[in-house]
Amino acid sequence: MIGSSWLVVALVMAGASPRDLGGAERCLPCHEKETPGAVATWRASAHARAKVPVGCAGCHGADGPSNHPAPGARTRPAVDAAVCAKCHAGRAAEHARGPHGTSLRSGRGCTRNVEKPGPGCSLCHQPGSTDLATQSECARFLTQSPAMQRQGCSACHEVERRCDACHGTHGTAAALARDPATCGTCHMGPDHPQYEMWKSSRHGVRQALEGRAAAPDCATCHMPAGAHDVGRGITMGLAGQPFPEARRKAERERMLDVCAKCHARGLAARQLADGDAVQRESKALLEEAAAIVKRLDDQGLLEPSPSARPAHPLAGKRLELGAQMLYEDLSRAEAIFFRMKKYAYVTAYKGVFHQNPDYAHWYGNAALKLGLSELKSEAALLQRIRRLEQRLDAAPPSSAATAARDPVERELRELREKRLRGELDDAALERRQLEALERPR
Amino acid sequence: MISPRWRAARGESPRRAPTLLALATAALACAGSPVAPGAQVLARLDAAAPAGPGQLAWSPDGEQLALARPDGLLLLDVERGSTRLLPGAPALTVDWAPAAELLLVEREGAATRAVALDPATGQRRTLHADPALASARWLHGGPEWLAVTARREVVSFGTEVRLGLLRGAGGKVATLHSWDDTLPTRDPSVDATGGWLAAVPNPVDHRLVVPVFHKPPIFSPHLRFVSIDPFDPAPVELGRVEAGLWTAAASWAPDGRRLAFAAADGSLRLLHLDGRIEAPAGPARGRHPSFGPRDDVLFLGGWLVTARGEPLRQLLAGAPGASGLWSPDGHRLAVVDGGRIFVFGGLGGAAPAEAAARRERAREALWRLGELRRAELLERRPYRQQRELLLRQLVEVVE
Repeated sequence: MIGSSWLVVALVMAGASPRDLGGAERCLPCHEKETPGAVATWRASAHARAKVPVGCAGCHGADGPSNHPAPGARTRPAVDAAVCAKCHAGRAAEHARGPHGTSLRSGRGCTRNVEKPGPGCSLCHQPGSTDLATQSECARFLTQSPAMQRQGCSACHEVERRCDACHGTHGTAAALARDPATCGTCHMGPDHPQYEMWKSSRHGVRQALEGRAAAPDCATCHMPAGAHDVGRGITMGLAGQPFPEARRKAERERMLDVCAKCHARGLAARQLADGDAVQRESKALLEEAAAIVKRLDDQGLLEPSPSARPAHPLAGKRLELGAQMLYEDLSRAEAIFFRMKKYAYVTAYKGVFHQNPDYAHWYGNAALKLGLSELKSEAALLQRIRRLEQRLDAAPPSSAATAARDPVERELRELREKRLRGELDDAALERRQLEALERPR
Repeated sequence: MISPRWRAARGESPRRAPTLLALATAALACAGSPVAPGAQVLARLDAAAPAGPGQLAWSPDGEQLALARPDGLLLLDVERGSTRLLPGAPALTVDWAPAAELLLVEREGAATRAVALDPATGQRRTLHADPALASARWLHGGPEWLAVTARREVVSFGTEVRLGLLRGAGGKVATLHSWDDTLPTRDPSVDATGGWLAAVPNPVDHRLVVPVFHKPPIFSPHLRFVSIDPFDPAPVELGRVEAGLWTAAASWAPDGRRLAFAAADGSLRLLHLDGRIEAPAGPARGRHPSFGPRDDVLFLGGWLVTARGEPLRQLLAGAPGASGLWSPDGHRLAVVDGGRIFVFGGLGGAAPAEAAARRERAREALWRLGELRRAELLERRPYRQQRELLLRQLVEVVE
């Protein structure tokens, strides 16, 4: 009560007339002291300045224990996108159907997407049901420590249900959400350096020199007219998975509509088609690499082998090269493949789409091909070690001993010797072994 | 401790009956008699503690039954009705047929070891020592063997179980496969390893098939049946079932093409080598199905049933958790139900001689092929192709 009185006095002294603050009057006396930055941001926001202001309770709910967690608690009175959707329904719906809203909820979502994740029943069960939750499937998340899960995963991957991931907390400045640097807080780094690509592209440099009106940025292309479905104009999945042709064409036309505001449509179409081609070529290199790793696994040449290392939380003790591939406890061949797939492959084609030739070529294409060379060399080395091991294990070529063995074994030993001497390749060895087994004796 | 009940119908007569009958009377007085009317009980034993199928083994000729017990190994001569205790450390599991030697896992304090035991002389050879050893079986009749190690640790969020499959040959022991799993329970008595411990190699192609549990919340809970070839041990998934159980003891059909196990509701399931899982419609229910030497007869939940799950004949009443071990000739069946063991006689018998001989030839050919693979004289692809060819030939001949 005393605080409220001081607030009224302060408002009068400041020449302002006391006005409804959307219920914030109840919170401000404490929060002006405890969280002055948050209050200042809110005061400057459209929420506070509106004719009918949106106060603290409008977003956080009524004052109560849920908004004041115990000291040291990890929970905080975060505002879910559903709360924003009460007033911003159109934008919220766009967000929800775009990649930001759906990518990690759809299909194999993450543990953190289980509603109210925590140590209680809902960790294993669907809310309000004895049915087991089955969507907690993100191997990389599951493999991390809780601190890394919070900082390394959820700090970005809460965008599905958190508007403040882009808009910031307590403020409403559209400029903040629209600034490419805000996108860059997540869309950067070795796995998808879109922000760095754009910033050092002709588009980015021109904007830096001449201002936002002079050149496009993230929002220009991916959120035209403020659209919140950031998948507009994108013609493939997160790792280049092809969309159905009809959808691909429609999205391409949407992107060309944006490009055509500055460029000839034909030029833009050719540029984007080059991006498609680089993606396909890069994917082919990646598939060649995956085949090498699978073959090494099949031959038992991965060290450590999937069966001899901690189990993958989803695939168990099997080779995993897909979207759930981990970066822990890998063999050298798998580690090379991981870097190729997660860093070089995506950088090669996204570099083209973001008009950055250096990223496309040196960080993408070159790194991908170097990785493939390295992998082939590693595979050849492992094969050579295997053959040397076999030579060491091979019995001394005693003609008497060999003659005493049964004819199948004798022939197989001779074939192995020929392989060790390089007179047979792997395919010929396997064919000749089958012939030896099937020959009537 | 032992109660032979000789039946005139089979023409068998007691030779050392008096003391045994006295013991039998005591056992009956304590235990009641769940034996179904008409069932021919040759003997009863007291395991001294709840027993599992791994604690029994028949001699190659089917005349003797070995029981692993806390005071050593008890040998029952079914023909004579006599018992002989080979005292020793508490025995956990035993295997016999078809090797001449017995293979024991015994635990003494913190030490656990696999031991080869000559039943005639009582001489022992330690094959391997590992505190986590839980079960061991001869491979292809010996002297090679397979063993399972099991370590479990109760942690805040459940129970961590780590299992290992070892192969011993020529004094060398190698880990073929290892697996760890987390069970969503802290109950220390929960059975998480029964399926592994009871697993025996495929009677034809020598592969071991074991159930591996996958828990929520990562997956909806299910059991994956994983096949491990001792010659080429990369695990291969054969099939998976929604699980109400965390493990399942399974039994191979004598043709080596079907693996019987019980679903959570006790109904019979047959896993085929092509990954198909058959759910016979019959009403039979139990926990541990056990195929007899004849292809179409199993013991399940106290009953003899067909492979279609249809009851043929009851042996033991009120025994859904009972497990059975058939003598090699198929005439006798040792049944474990809790701490009691019943030996039934007058049962079906073996597979037709021609079929048995054909399987034996295939078994030997597959073993020989496996040895070539183990010696690294065969690459994986030709090995697997040839193995499938041999198995297919066996199937085609049978069909």
